[in-house]
Amino acid sequence: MARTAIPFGPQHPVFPEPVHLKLELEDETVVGVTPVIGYMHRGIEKAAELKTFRQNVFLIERICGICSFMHSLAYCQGVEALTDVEAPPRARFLRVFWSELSRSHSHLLTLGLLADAMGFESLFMQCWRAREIVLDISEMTAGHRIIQSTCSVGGVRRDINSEMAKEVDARLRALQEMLDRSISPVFLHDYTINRRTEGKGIVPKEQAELLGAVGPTARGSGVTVDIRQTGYAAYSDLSIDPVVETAGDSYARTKVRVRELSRSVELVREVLAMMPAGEILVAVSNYPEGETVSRVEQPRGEEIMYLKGNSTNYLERVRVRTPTFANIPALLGMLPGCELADVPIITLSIDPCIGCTER
Amino acid sequence: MEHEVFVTKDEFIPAIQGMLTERARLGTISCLDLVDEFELIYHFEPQEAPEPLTHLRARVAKGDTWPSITSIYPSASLAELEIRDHFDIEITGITLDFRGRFLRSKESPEAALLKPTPYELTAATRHPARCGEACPAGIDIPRYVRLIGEDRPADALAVIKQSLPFPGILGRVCFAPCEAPCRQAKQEEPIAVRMLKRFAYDNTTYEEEVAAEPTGKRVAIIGSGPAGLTAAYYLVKMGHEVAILEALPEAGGMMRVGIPAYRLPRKVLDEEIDLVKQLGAKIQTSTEVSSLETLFENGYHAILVATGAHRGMKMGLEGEDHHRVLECIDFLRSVSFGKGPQLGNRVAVIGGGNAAIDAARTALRTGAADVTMLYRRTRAEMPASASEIEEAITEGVNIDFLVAPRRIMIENDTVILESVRMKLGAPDASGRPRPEPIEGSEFQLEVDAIIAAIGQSPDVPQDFALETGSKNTVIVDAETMATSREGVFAAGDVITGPASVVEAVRSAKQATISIDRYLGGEGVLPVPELDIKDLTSRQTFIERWARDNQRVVMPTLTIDDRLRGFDEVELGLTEEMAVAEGKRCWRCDLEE
Repeated sequence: MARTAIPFGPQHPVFPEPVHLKLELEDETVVGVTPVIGYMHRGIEKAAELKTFRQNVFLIERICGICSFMHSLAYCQGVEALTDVEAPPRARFLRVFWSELSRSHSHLLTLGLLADAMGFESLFMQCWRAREIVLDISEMTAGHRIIQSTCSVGGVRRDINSEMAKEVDARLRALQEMLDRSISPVFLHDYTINRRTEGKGIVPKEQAELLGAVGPTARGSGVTVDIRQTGYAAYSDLSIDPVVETAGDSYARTKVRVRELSRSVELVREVLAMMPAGEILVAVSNYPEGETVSRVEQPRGEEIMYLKGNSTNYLERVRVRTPTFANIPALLGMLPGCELADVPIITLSIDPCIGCTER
Repeated sequence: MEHEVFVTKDEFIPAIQGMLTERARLGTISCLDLVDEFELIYHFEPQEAPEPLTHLRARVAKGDTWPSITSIYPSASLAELEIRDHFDIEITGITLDFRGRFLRSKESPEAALLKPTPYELTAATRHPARCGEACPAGIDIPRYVRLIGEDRPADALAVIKQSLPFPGILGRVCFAPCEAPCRQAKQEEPIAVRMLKRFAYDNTTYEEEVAAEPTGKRVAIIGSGPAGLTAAYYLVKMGHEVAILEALPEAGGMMRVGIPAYRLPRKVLDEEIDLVKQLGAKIQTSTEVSSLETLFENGYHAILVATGAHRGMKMGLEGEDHHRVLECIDFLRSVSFGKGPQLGNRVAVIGGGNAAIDAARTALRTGAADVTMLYRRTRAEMPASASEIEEAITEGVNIDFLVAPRRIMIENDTVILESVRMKLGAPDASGRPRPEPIEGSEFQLEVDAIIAAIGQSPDVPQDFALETGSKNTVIVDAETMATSREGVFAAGDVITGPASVVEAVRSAKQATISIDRYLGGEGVLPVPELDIKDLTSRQTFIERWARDNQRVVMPTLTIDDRLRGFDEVELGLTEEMAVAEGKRCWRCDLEE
């Protein structure tokens, strides 16, 4: 049987990010796939060696425009471990506050894009309308819709007052209602979503583990892994139950995100209610020394940051393993066997972020 | 950090396999530049997420190779590629594409994760590269360059031997048509392919396969130059009985009489000629053939005419026949046989080809102090190879451009060469600008001897009764190398006019195939099967960009040592230089 090679990306209508998949097809069935990445490598790891450890927060934040807060959070937690500083309790709760806001707007973004890829325009608009609520909260509390720039070594740079907290809570309640009424039920029960995702792009549990899948991609395959369980920031004071599905297909990954989204909004409201009073930033007087690995759970999965300091103002090495970088092998495992028309949806089901991948 | 394990290179792979049995998940790989070495850290996560990570740490020397773990943890490939791109570590065996691993077919959609296979190059993943395409002998150049980069010169030599019987000679005298199309030639830093070939020959040995069953057919080869020897090498291995008939007292043809010993040491030439003898070809020297009929009558079934182009062309000048006006090839031949004439102090060489350069450099070595070359165009049009011109100038040869000789006058013991200055005009048939004399610019040069090197032509005896074309070349079929007479084939300079050793090898290989077919064989060159695994993968852009992109410089003798005699000028590459040069290759032949 004749084989056809079809390129997917680096520019594709449903996925305009610079990753290139060379698909090998037998008729309409994908039988082989070769990834090509590296179109937009920015050298942030190297650049981080050339700036002081305080300046790096703003550099690291710009690895990605969606989960920027959590990049800076992983970095700050790592540097705090190297300088023997502990962020004050209020700062730790505020970190969870912005983390979960990031997660909810990221999940709304990717669910919307998934609906858009299926041609489900109305659902796409619902998701992005709901996302505006989160972005408005972000602008109100941090001064910026996406890149909050609130995390700092030793704590956070901005506080929220009780008036603001009340407004945030009200808006989140509106969001919750929107999710319950017009977004979650569609994703969980709609015929179109079901037919386009169920049984597509299966990655079994064992394979997901071997391929090092993380985040919703791993949890959709039944791997119970959620780094929030390690209890960084204030997560030790909150109850985190990993959302796990076992089917391992695109539908399972989508369901994981929908359920996590609701939980995220709840978490933000819980954090607002539990927030202790006090300092938000402590002074850091010494230079980072030694090595550490800092891990956070991003919307797309676990981020690993390796930091090495040498008692100077500059770090000797900053290594960032972003979640999409770890999920690409899993994606390559999903594609063979599927139909060409399902490739865009399966690719979107891992929530790929090439901005993160090409640090 | 928690749970650190330090491992050496030997303990490394078992340790990774140990992590797999514990079902640990690979987080990622970090690489640290520790100035004098690298440290690789493999971060593993235990199966239960909240448990702390395990870090496997290993030190790697700079420029060293390191095994890939993709056959154990396939997800490591992206991180390994990144490290290979950003640091000077050659990670070998990375499964670049997931083809071997994630290939499912319609029939077995359940075969989710196939068994890991080591990365191997196959024909399907290779393109023809420009260097290999340009090689007249058809050597798989990118492959052997890569093998030298992997420090496997013996395997590289085996690859060369697939297409070329005489790597020692070609590694020294080839004009390397492969280097000009190299993609790095744009920056004037092409891969030094010829030097690497010489390195492979000088530093390793190659086991020749024994000749096949005798076929009972006899082939006579007239001329023992590169074409004759190449044909003999293959024909003997095919099982034919081969006799080489050489007019001169020693075998080698133009390689012995035209190429001076400082470029091609006689030891190397003898080694490769001896190889042909050992395989079973008989070489009869001082045997001039005047008639092909006699050969057929003596029981030869086929004849290869490979007599070369040894007759110097006449300049057509007044006074040309004086004994102080020498012909280039005659001069080089007599020097090669140790009977060089006394030239005197001042020598003029007329011409701008490689033979002219050889004559000028040889004249310097035989006692002339003042050697001037006269060429009627400029350096840009000179047919000699640029590196040869450079070497000649370094050794002290003066080159006078845009000068053409008019006549030669002999007064007492002095030769007076009257020349005229030229200017460049419109292009001629060869595409080069036609030189036109500037009237009234005549000048005289007093010298002790003149060497004329304005080209050679084949000298085929009339009695061969072969059809000849322009400049006395033998006319052959472009595919089969068959001449106008049945059973008579021709190869080498005799069909092309003066060309190069590698061109002679090319036409001789073609002629060999036809001769074997003519004698009833299959016409397949006896090339051994190769069992060599290629490990290196395609260089990425970042790796190329980051690497120091200097072409290796061949170490040479000092000028004083060179002019003292005929010692080889080029000294050969060290292992370190050759491996670095091989690694510089961009590997255009591999697919991403």
